[in-house]
Amino acid sequence: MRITGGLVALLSASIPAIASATDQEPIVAQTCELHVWPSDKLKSVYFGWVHGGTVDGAQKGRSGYPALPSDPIPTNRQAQLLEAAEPQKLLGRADDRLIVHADALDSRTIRTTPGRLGDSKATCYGELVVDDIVFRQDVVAGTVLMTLFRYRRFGADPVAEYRFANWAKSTVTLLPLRPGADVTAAITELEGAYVGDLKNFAELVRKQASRNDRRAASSKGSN
Amino acid sequence: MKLATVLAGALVAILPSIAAAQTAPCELHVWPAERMTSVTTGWLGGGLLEGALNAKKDSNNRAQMASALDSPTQLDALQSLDLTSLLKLPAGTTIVRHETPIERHTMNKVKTRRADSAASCYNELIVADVFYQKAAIYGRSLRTLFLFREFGNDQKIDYEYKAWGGNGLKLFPPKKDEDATPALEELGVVFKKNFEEYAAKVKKAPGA
Repeated sequence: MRITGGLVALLSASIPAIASATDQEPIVAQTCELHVWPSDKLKSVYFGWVHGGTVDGAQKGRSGYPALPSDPIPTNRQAQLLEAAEPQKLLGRADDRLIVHADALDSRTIRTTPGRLGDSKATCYGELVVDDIVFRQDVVAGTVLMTLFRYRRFGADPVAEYRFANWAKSTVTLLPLRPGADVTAAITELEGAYVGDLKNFAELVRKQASRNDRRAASSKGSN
Repeated sequence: MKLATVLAGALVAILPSIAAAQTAPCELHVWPAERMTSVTTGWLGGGLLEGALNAKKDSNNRAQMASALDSPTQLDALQSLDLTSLLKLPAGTTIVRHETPIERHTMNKVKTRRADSAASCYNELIVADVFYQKAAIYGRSLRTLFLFREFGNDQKIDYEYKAWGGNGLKLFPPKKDEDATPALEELGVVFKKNFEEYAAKVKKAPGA
């Protein structure tokens, strides 16, 4: 009798729960999105013993500026590199759905749009924009590829919950080309530097996130 | 009789174009800068040794300025201001953007109109140089060299004023591990301040 009474009580408690679960929409885990945009053409700055200072002096064919291959890392190639590098994993968000956009955004759009750059209504949405890539050459300081990344995350709100921008740098040794040098090897190295910059930036984001988590935990502990 | 008819015909043809030129709005053609410079000096007072010690910093600054103050950003910053009143130009002056910077070394050499315009009221504003400076005593600043030229109904410069505008920086260059956004945005804000400072002297200072 006791057992029967217990079973009835258990059944009566569980039946409404089953009913409400079947009445409602099935609960599906919300997929997060990471939208990624490549940059426009490579910029260059050079500072030599005699010449220097003119932005894109090499591309403009100015006297005294070491020549660079024309558009050595075009937007479509950047998009391929970004897709292959799996930035969602690098940023510690392996389950995010990666959407790599084929076209670059102009600097005005990147810098002045307060809300989302992508046309997505996902409530869990992030965007990683390669704002600029600059080939920086200096006779004293050396040659590096500098990349400016901008990373933002949005929830249901139109305003970003998190934003972080920073420059990443990777050394380049094969550009500008010396006479008789292998162009393909130089481009491969430049592409490696581009991916290296992405990894450096993502590492910085992860470090910052864990620093923030530690701060939050210690402030909770002190309360 | 024939001559009179020809003259009358010519006048009829010319008069509307003269009238149109007189009522046509003034033009202000604007060009961004193509040269970015950064000089860091410390207590050693500059020189080769200090130049070498600060080469990396200056080089990084130049790259960051080339991005943060790219041509569209410079032009947008200027166009966000009331250029017509700041430069004391007639109301209704048309602003004409030139996205490609002019070659820096031609800035002083060329003494005629740079744009292919026949407007009877024609002006030029050229951003010549963008210069970041860090000095031991004065701190960090962004200086900008501007050139304004006013032409009449010909190729001759009627008025010219070239000068630097300069203001302090608090955030640029960004710190290594921090969000670079405020520091990069500061460059645009100070760039505008520099122009306002420069424009206040235009037409007050004697032209070149």
